[in-house]
Amino acid sequence: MTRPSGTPRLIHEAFARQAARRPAATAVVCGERTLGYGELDALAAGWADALAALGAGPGTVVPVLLPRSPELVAALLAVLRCGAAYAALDPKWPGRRLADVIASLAPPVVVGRARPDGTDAPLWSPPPLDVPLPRSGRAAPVPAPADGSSPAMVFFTSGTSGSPKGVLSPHRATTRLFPEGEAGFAAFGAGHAMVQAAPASWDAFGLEVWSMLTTGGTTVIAEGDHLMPHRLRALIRRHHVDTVWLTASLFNLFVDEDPGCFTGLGQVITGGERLSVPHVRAFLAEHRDIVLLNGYGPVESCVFATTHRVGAADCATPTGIPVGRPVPGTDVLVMDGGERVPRGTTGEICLAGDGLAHGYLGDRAATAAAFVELTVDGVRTRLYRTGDLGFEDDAGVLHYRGRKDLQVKVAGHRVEPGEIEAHVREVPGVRDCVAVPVPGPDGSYSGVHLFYTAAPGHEPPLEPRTLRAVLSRALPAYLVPQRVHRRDSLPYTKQGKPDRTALAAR
Amino acid sequence: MSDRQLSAPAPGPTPSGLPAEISAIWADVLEVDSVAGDLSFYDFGGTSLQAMRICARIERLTGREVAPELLFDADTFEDFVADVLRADDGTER
Repeated sequence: MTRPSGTPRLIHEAFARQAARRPAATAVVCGERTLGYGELDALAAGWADALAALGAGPGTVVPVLLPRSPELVAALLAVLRCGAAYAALDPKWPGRRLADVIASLAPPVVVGRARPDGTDAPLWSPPPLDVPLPRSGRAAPVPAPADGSSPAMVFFTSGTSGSPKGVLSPHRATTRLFPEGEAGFAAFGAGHAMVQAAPASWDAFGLEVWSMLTTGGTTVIAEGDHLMPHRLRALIRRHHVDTVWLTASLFNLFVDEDPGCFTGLGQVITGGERLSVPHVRAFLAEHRDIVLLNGYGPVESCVFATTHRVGAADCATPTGIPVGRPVPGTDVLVMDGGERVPRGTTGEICLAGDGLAHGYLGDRAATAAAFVELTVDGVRTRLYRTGDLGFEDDAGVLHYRGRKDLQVKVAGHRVEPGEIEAHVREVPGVRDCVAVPVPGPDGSYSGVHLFYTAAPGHEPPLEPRTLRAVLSRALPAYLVPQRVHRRDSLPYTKQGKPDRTALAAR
Repeated sequence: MSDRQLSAPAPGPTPSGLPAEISAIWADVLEVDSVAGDLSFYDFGGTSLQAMRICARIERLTGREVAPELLFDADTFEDFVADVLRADDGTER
């Protein structure tokens, strides 16, 4: 694996180095507002003092509930300077789920505009950016190991058991992706500007923000909840953005609805789901001069494990657009039965290197099952078993083939049907249920349909509409089934498992 | 996809034609035969990607920006159309 050298491995140190070099350079743009590197550094330092005084420090996780904004970026840097890790949470999650997640972190302080219901940790709200900060008492960042192994962020992702899993990711998992110079998988740094449109709770947020802020580039925050094609056009025109990340389903939407909207960009990064060949073909035909990258990787190996520069020849690959070669600081091993398989043979994609998370917060069993230590080619290696299937071709390029289990990606969100089912079974009036992912026209999944049987003796029988309303109050929108069907019975296979294929075919 | 009818002449449809146009966009994106005026986007199981698709098409049709959030905020299809019409004549925004 390529080990980036010279780049600080702590996110806030890599940022501070850029701020010291070019304090007047633009770090963050949002509408009419811009923040220079020097200004952002000073803000983060001042806010870190305030957070540290409330107990943020090494070993703690600070939930941050702010809309995507310059304030959010400064707050996250402040948390990191304290030596703490941040968990950027979506304030739109149902209250109960949010409160449960925050309680599981036992945070010293919550950063946000209002204290979430059911939380008793003190609330800290960032002051307006134009309020001058006191100049005294600004402490240096809390020292942390230079190898970047200390926790930096927590991502919550769908868990089969019914509760979200908290993935604890160290600094180096982010900084490994963005070495200075030519070694990176894409062009970042001074002279580059990237759109920030992903929810802060996603690891893709780091791709949009830390890519630029650790290398001297600019992150341009898209206003509103959704990046629309015409808004992308405006960001290119007004702020000269040259890089955008779009999950595959969003990429497809942009190509369908406004294929010219990419004009002016230098690189488009997509992935997170299987790419659609017709959409890729249409994009390449119209934008020959834009670099198109396909990124692959679970959040347990922060943002990407591999990337592939997509060319016209890839559209003819029978197994689909390849996912490519490892990013810096990452190794890919295709394994079966504890051994690497030969090239061309499909096995489970396992990942090693600096991108790996420490594990799942408070869940040793799940961590031990997914993160294993094996001797590979005579070397003790910590591996993350992705549950993804794939093979390396003769050139060492990775191809994705599917999942070992039922997990799917819906519009970029990782969805465990088991999590939805666990919630449905708790609803009074439900006897049995199966959540069935629905394949979309472009090779990804468009959503999940739910089938259930009503519990006997529950009068009147639970209506699909009522059940869906109950789920809407308990689950984030992306986990709520689009359609809910009541059945007299559910089909089972001979092995006694729900027959999802039969249900999907209906 | 209904590109052909969407690349309409520049002036765009008259307000009276707009509800029908929007109804056709909903039906196409949500993959349903028709759109009952008293149902909401949520009732149709609409996703945020579908909301974005609908708004992108309305934007191209009318030149007016409609935020995808509006689809989730409107109680019925008819309310949504009223919101779009309001945005269209400039009394909102």
